[in-house]
Amino acid sequence: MILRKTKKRLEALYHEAKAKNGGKLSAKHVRHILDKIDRKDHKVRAELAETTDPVKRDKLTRKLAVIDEQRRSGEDLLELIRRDETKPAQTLSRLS
Amino acid sequence: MLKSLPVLAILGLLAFGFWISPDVQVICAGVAIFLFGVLLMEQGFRLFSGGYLERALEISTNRLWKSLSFGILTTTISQSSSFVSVITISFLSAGLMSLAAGIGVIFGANIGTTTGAWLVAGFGLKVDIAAYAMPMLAFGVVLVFQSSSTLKGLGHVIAGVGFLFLGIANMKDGFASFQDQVDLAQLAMTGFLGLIVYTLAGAVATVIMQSSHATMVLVITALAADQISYENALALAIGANIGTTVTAMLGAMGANHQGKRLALAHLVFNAVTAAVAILLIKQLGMVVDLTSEAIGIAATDFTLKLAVFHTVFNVLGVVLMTPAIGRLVTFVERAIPPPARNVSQPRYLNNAVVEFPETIVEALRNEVQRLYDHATEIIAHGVNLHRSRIFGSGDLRKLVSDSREIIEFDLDARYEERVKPLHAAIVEFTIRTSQKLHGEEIDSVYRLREIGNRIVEAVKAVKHLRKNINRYTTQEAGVMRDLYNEVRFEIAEILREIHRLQHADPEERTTLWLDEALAQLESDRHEADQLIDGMIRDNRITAEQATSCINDAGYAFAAVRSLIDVARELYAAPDAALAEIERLIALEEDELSEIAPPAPPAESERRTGTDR
Repeated sequence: MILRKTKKRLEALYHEAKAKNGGKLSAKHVRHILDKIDRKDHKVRAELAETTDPVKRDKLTRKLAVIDEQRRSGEDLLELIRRDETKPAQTLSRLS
Repeated sequence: MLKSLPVLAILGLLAFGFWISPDVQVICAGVAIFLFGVLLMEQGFRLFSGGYLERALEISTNRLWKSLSFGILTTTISQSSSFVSVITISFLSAGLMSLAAGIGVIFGANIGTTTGAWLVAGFGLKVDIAAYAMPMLAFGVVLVFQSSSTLKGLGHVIAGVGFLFLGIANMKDGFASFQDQVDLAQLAMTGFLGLIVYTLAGAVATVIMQSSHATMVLVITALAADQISYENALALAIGANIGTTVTAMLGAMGANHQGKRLALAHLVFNAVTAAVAILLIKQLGMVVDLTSEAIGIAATDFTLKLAVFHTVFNVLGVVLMTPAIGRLVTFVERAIPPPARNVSQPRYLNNAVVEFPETIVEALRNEVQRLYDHATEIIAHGVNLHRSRIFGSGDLRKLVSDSREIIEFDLDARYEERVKPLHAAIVEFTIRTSQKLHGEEIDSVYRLREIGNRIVEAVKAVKHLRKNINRYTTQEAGVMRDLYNEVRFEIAEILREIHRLQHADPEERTTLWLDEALAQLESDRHEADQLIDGMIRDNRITAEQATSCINDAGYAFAAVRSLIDVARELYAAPDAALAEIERLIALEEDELSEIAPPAPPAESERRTGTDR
């Protein structure tokens, strides 16, 4: 059962956002957020390694699941933006 | 009637002047055309800058030299220190810049405004300026009728400069003809009395025309036509500097206390500069002579020497006052204390911030943040907890179970006093300002208004909970107390999470953290449902108690959900693109349900499933 945001849905949301923001969204922005997600991931994993309380462990595991989903969406978005950013270059090279 | 007396007096004086000489009409028409040009240029810069000016101001506030340079540059380009004062007061009132930075901009504007005298004395009087005005007006008007706001703005600026030139030409012609009929030079006064009288006359003229630039042009053209003496022209220039502070004072009337402080600082600065100039008039005259000689200005070119004087004494003022900015800030802060804290009144939404889109959005954001702060106090007390302890680092679950005393307060009265009036002011402000905004800004304003609504929903949800929370907080140990402590814990936990987000290092902060809180909320909701179901099955609570619990859990989750939405908007990345990416990556409802354990099917459903 796949309930995570599908690539198709993400693509639709991305194009909507891009139209609204006048193409200001860049791969650099996504990488910036992905870095934050990675740092948070390390922090939560470190906390989980030190925790023995089952309630806290459960909470931290849930946090990691959320972080994991966000990372997947972020990576999908990065791929979409990269594809978008290389499009004009490809068109130009084909023209030349 | 009393208020209109000065206007009537001015109109009467003008009519008398027109009756005496038709040349007075030409001179006054020149002043009127010049002022109209200034107005057009201001309008043009608002349209043309497309927010660049405001963005530049935002990044020019961290260093004094940047604020000074911003003031010099923008006033030189726009030729209107009043325009720069209005932007600065607006930014200060919206909480976008510090008072010291605002004072720096105003100091810079005083130097920038001296370029006007150079332009008129060096260019306006030496060439046929009206010849330049005509094509500018024609080109400008064509652009004014374009639909693009940039072209329209450019048109206003070009037409504005055209009118400035035309006004100067009219004043020049008027004085040239006037000198054949009347010799105003006969009114020249020498000595200290002349200095004081003409300083006052310069100040009054600037107050009437609302523009020191117009006074300076009038003085330069009159000086060129030998209608006033050089000595009196210097005094008029000093007076113009004092008079211009009145414009800033009027601009600050609708501003908050910070805007008023800036206007007072402007008055102090210009009054000190004027006093120094009056006291050192002889020495300054010598400096002007030496400077003029050094840069090749003829000893008899009094109009250019006046421009030199205007620059020298304004630069002297800035040099003298810049080291004292700290003391000036302390003085104006003492002179205009912040208004008594009226929690019902908006702090950031005032007429001064309505001038620019950036200040409208920022002032609204600050006010919504204030509404949130008021709401969190009511919400925390509503669940019998103190914010200082919620925001601390202690074990929250223990804090909730140990806090068994009711915090006595009238939630309804507090809501009426601290939330409702602010919320109403936010709604009224968005309606009033939305016509001035476009695109992204209008979206931001409506999102912030919606956030205001969500804050109110959270408070109202806690209001519903309060009765039962009070009932079970004080009760001896029991299942109902445990259940209601769980409700209190949920609310306290989200308040703590949001507080952490608010105070996190901006480099690490992201609203994506709120997804973790949402997933936890979903999970807790499933657990609470299971727990209540189990308690009913085991006859540990009655059906009535279960109903109360289910309803109140619903209110609590609604409050928490509203608070999360509020935080997501209030603490979104300041960069629009980053904020958009956060929104794209944030988990959606179905993803959250996936992470939270699904609730087991109800007994009836299970049976239906088996039957099938």
